Amino acid sequence: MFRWLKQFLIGSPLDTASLHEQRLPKKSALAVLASDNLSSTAYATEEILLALTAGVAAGLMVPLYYAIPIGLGIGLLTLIVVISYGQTLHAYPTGGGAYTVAKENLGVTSALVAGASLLIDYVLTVAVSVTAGIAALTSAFPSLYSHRVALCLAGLAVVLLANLRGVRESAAVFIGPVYLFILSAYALVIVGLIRFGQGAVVPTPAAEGPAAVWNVALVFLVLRAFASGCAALTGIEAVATGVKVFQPPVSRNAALTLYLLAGMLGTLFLGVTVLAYLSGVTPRSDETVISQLGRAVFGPGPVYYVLQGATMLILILAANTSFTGFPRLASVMAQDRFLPRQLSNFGDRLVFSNGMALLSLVAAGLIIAFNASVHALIPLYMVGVFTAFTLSQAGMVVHWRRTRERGRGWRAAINAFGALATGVVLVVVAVVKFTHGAWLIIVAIPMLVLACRSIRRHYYDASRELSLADYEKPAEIRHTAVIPVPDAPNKMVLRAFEYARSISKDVLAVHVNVGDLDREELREKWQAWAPDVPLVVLDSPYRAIHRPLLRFIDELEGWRDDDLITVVIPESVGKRWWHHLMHNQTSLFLKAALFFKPKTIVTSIPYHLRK
Amino acid sequence: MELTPERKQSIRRRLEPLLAGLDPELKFIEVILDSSRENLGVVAQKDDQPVMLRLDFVRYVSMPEAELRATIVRQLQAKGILPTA
Repeated sequence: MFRWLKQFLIGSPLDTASLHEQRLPKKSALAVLASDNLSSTAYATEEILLALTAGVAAGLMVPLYYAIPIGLGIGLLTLIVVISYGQTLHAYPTGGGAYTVAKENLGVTSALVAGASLLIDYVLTVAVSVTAGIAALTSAFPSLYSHRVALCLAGLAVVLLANLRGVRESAAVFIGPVYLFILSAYALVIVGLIRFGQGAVVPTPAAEGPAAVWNVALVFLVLRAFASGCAALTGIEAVATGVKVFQPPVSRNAALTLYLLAGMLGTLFLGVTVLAYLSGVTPRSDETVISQLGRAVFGPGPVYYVLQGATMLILILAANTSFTGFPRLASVMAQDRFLPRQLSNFGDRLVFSNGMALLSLVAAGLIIAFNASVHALIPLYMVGVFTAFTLSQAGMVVHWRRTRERGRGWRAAINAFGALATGVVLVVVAVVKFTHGAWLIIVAIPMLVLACRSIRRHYYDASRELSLADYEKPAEIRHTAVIPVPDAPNKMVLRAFEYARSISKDVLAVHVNVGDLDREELREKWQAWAPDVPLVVLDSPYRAIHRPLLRFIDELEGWRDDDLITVVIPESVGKRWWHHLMHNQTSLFLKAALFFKPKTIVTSIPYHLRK
Repeated sequence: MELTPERKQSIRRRLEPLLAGLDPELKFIEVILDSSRENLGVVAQKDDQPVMLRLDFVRYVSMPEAELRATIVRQLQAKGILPTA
């Protein structure tokens, strides 16, 4: 049943040999890796406007045309970051995410900071993207607003399932919505600017702000708007991290995709920002800026709904980039033993399914905790990504200093400028968004770094302990076999007796008496079938089965020196999947409790029921 | 390895009053002997806490009452069933 459901949802397992067939051409890779970055054009402008209008309540009026120079500044920053990442792709043609670059050039601590920052950022990308996608839906259909958390979780489940089906299949699913969004967003910008030029779109009075008086509060507000708008840069690093999804020549294809992506991001982001200013659109809690622009440019007709539908889809699918980035980064860190090893294993469809499941779980937790609010999640968003940007570019500077490649001087200069620019933005973002939630990430990154170090220390200690260097063959193993038994003998239990006798001369049956059964009567019943096995009947005044049994096993451990306790658990195996729900619950709990006892071995003796 | 019923009865008769004298709530449950015939295990229980008392079978047979009592008291104190002196 489970196997059928799994195959239905994610498809048949793929042969390891077909791994190379999972690589993507540029147009599909763009759909997989660009959705996060491009989707930010749907909310980055809104975040700038929201920050600029935040001072109104305090009597601080900021003209909305400030959004344009802020947008230009972000565009310039994008250019710097993209050129810097182009360098990274040149230097690390097999994939050079911030973690790898920092590890090779700056050391383990920097690598862990970069890795932790990116992992956190990927989780936030999923939470923000899905939440923003559902915000687009509830803008078009306000009656759905109260169901936004459930809708977000459903959207997340869809993206997870599509990704679990494999890279090629997820690309096939996502390519349509991504290109539909690119087309509709360009249509919005181009048609909007033309219609504004023709006077068909009339600006609202909000577009005309008073002249601002520069003071500390205003500077802070503008910096906050800039920091909020930097959300547009998130997702750029995904191309460098996800190089392995490209068909050969991977480095060249990845670089071309990166430049194409940056071009589209720059034009769409600036286009939407200019159009928002010209149209006098201001952020509203019940309708997104893109939705307002769509209504103003296209009217409330089918084109508007296509734009909203495409926006919703790209925002939800932006999470898809994280489903490529997070599991790959987690697998690299797991191979270095900084994360649990399960994260480095391919699933049935040659994707890192454990990483995807972990990503979904944490993102779902965030969506629920923040009540599916984009504005509450956004401030958490950029500290991680700019930390990774900065460390990656700084690592590249060290890389160029070590290499003898031609042009290393100007290449190092580009990366140094990139590191400086993103470092400054990181400080700005951390300061202006500190009280809005950025502190959470500033605390979470070092905690994750410490956790990674603890995981590695554990793996190291475990491998040393398991090493054969000081191996001494143990003396003959002596063990006492203990069989928990019910109040009456049956075939299943007698089979366990036979097994126990075959492994040990010391077999004990234990019954926990939760009722008021006569001890001697019980003993006689068992004596008839197993006269050679002593029966210990423990009383359970509080009716719990596990507690007296586990305590008895504890006591038994001290009975004989160098003794192991083997608990032989008889279990029935039903023919249908739902039969399992009606059997073995006690033994399941017992096995879980005994697992952590160092001198105890647990053996299950299954009895397969025929009906 | 199962003790004969007679042997079990004799051990029970010796130990049950001793345990009850130490703590009236301490009940004698069972006695077991391992396959080497060296280790005698006396299972007792107080409330929902089972206790396994460990005795050397060969020595037990000829052990004076006072020494047997002291051995059991020492073990019950180590397990927290009886207060330490």
